[in-house]
Amino acid sequence: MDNPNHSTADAAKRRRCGMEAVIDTYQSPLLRYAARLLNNSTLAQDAVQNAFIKLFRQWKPDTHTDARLKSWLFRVVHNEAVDIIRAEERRRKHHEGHAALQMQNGMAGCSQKYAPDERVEIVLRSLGVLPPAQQQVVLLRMQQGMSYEEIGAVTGKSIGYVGNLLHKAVHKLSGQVRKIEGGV
Amino acid sequence: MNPCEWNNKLTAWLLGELHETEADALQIHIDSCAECNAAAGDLRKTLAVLSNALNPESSSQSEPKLDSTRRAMLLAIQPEPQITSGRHWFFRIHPAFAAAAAAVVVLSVVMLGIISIDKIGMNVSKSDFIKACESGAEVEMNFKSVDGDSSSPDTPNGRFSVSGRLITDSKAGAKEINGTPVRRDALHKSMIDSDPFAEVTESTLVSFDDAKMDETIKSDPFAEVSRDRSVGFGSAGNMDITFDSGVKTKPVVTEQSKSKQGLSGQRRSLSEVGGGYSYGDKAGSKGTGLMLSAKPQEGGVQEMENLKIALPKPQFTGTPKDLNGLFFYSRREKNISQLSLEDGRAVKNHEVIDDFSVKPQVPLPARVFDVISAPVGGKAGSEGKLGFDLKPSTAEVGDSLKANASLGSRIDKLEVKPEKSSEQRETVLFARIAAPQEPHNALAKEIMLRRVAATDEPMDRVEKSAKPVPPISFNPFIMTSADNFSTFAIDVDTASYTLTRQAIRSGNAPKPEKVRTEEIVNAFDYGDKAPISSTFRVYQDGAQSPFGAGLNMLRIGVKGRRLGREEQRPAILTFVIDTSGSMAQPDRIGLARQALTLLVGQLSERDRIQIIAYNDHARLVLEPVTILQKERILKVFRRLQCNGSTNLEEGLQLAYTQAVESFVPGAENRVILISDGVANLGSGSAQEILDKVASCRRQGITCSVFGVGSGTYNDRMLEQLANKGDGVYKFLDSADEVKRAFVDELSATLNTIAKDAKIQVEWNPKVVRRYRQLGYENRALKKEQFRDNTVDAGEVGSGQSVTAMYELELMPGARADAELGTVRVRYQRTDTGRIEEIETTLKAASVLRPAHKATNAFRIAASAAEFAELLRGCPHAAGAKFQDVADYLRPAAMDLTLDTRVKELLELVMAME
Repeated sequence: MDNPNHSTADAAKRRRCGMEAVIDTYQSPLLRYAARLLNNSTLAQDAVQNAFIKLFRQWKPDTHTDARLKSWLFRVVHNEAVDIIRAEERRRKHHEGHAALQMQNGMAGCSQKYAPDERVEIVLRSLGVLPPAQQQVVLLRMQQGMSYEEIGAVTGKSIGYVGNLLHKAVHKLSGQVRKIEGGV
Repeated sequence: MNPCEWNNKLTAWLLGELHETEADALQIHIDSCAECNAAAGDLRKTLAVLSNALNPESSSQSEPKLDSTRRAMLLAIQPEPQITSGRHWFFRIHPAFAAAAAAVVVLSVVMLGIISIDKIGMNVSKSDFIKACESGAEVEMNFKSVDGDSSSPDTPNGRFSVSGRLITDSKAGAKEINGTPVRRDALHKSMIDSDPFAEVTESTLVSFDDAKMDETIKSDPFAEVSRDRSVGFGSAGNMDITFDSGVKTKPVVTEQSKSKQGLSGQRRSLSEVGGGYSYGDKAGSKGTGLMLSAKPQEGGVQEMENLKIALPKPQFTGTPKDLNGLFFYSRREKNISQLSLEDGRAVKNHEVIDDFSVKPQVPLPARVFDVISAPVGGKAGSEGKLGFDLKPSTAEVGDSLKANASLGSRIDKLEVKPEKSSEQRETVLFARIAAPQEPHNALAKEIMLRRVAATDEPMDRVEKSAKPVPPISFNPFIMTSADNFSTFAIDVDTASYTLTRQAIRSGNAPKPEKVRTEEIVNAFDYGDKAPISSTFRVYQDGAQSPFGAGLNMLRIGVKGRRLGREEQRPAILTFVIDTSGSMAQPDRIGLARQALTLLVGQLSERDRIQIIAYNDHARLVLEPVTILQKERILKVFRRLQCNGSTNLEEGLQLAYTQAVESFVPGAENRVILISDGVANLGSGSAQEILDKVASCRRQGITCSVFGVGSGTYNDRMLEQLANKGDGVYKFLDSADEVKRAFVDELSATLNTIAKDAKIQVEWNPKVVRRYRQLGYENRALKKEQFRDNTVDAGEVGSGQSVTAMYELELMPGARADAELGTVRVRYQRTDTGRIEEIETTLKAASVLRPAHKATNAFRIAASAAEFAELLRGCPHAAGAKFQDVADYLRPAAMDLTLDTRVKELLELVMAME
């Protein structure tokens, strides 16, 4: 793409504009997603930032994007989040339960107002302790509104498997709610 | 299937992800299996809770952003230096993957006629392969449409998976094209450079080696190695390319194997053009998508540095939210161009990259820039030139340059005018947009505005957010000598009546702001006969006022003609159904279902209906079908599940997108919204929706609204939607109302006879001293607006009537033959499109009649009007009591034994006593 006539300053500006567009389009959904995975909005910012870094290192002035970008971003953010969790795990040297549970107890920065509905809280807690694959699918569908096919694109799993995961997850969450409600 | 095995499918079913046949079978099962029924209920509840939990209401929580430090840091990232080695994973997720298989990038080949597509994969030996290549037959590259419409082979649509494979010998470092050796890794690199999302997979020569492929897959979770189907990153395409050292003539590209379900193939042929290769429908024709070209260099190795492989761009097939990255400027949309250019953010000199410094023998069709795709042709309609006006400017290059970032959808190609001089780098870019209807520009404009609104820059041209609900206003008495013109737009909605009725029946006083006098009055039939030939006929009726001493009341009735069966135009209906959690009750979704069932029973084969359901997000659950698919329509509706929040914005956007796509000129194109009115709307988006509705109405798509439910009922928004959309607004609180709206009055709802209908009464100051209009406060117009054809007024359906009530104080000594004034009705006929105006003189005779001698019709009208005014707390009605109204109405109610509605009114009035 090197054209001797091409002014570098313009190219840089165009590139920046393209990058800005990507950030503005995707930062909110990605941050929400990461925040759920990590239960920590600062770490979520880290994960999303890392994904963008990876992207922008390869970003040329006239890079065009298509639908694959979204899948790719969610995939990478997820991996970044997983990396962060593992790093945190190593740091804390804890091995009980899923790392997300540890993070969840922190609840830092995730100042979400819960509805007075207790079930919401229960469900969110339970979500945090789901196996990561199930958690991911739940978030991608219920938070991000992706279709099974899109989720398949992000996770690399077949549509049938996605359905399976999601069903197991929702079933499990139902159980939790029932258990706690029954216990009250 | 074992009954219990159904359990696994429940979630998918609830989320609408099951195939139609499976879903039906499951529905049948659920109806008979209590266990699954209970389980489904459980899951449904959990999904609702999940939805609430993960999609918070407060907007501040739902739009997190990267903090400014990080953002700045990201924007300062420079591209990494170029790769020089040929073995490279573009995105290094784990360092381990850098040591990926040292195989060669593979492109496999199928020669038509020599190897059928079925044999691709395991049965091709290398020698056969090379032989095939050497025979020089033309080969084809296949583009598979992953989604979207590919019914026409010339108009690729949707997302593509591009596949083509060449096989190479990994030992040979180079290949020859036209006798010139080409370096494989350079090709590889260029490919990557041009598309960061391309994943170049490497596999050995024997691209059909399963073991190798397995290994590749294991080592990189993101790789998908194809055997006999398109390689995907996600579901879009990906290109593996290698060279065949054995090929001496041209590189051959292959056709991939059979499509997956729902995919179809597009064929392009790859042929040699000048120093490189281009592909298209025929040699030399304009290709959409792939351009392989090489820049030959003097002597030696051809470096292929400028090899540019641009993959086809996805067609816009989604909802507008998919376009949030788009910056779509159209010269025709003045506002947008002003938005983009005149705010000091002019587009700076924008150069086009020229990769082909050598002119090929066959001129390349265009400088295939980044943006390629689009239907060649597309839907019928006008084409607009999309111009980027560029002037040399010292101002900061602004957001407008993002235009190049991801222009997709309907841009054919960018053609570049030759540069004027090397100094004056002014280049004007034009892109042809196949723009079927203006709504797309409005759509684009809306997207633009959303985009701008999303940035934090103050733009005074950005639409202001919806105005707050105005306080109740009452028409005052007007001195005829001061202003003797009363002008208003016609309104045939009756929702206020139904709402009021519902409130009273549940034992509450209706909220004054929900009571609209004209709607109460219009809810009754006054027995006016429909005209046969003319579009409207004006009736007048009156008496001395039964409620205000010394006053008279006048009823003006405008009755529309009924369209004959052959005059009725086909209806293209887009049903938009709210399937949020609040709709889950039988008196809501159940009524909506009834409505649809009745409607389908009334339609003809010329009509079409499509259904969009929305809760957290919107989805098309039924594409446009005729009533020949009646069962399917009803089935689709039965399977709808109600949960989640109410994303009215997305629902309407998708609905309008669909309505625009299925628009049939000359038909009645309608969006019909059914909702319980509980909508979460972001600030500003209410106004956007209304603008969209209004702009689509101007193109011929009207919007009617049917409200259901009660309680937290956002009536105002729904009424405004119907107003802007020129459609009716009705409230369905019972099966009766549903029948009334969708059977009895359906013709009126679906078939219009007049648009933009306005009424003007010119009072005679010699006879009428003062006058007061009852109702129509929201529809009042200025005198000069009566003949202003741009004013948006109401729509009148076949056989509908409109009633206006006035309270009058006459001059002393007014006689029966005196003229009260003139009433004019001005409207645009829907069939001819002509504007017509009719005029009738109002005589004093009827209004002089004593109240007790008035006609039944008048009794009803006067009572209805007074009732409404009392409910609203109108000061002019302060003296009267509900009992007076009831007493006045009773004789009429008893007289008209067959009219249940009048009796109903009487009950309501009595209930308020």
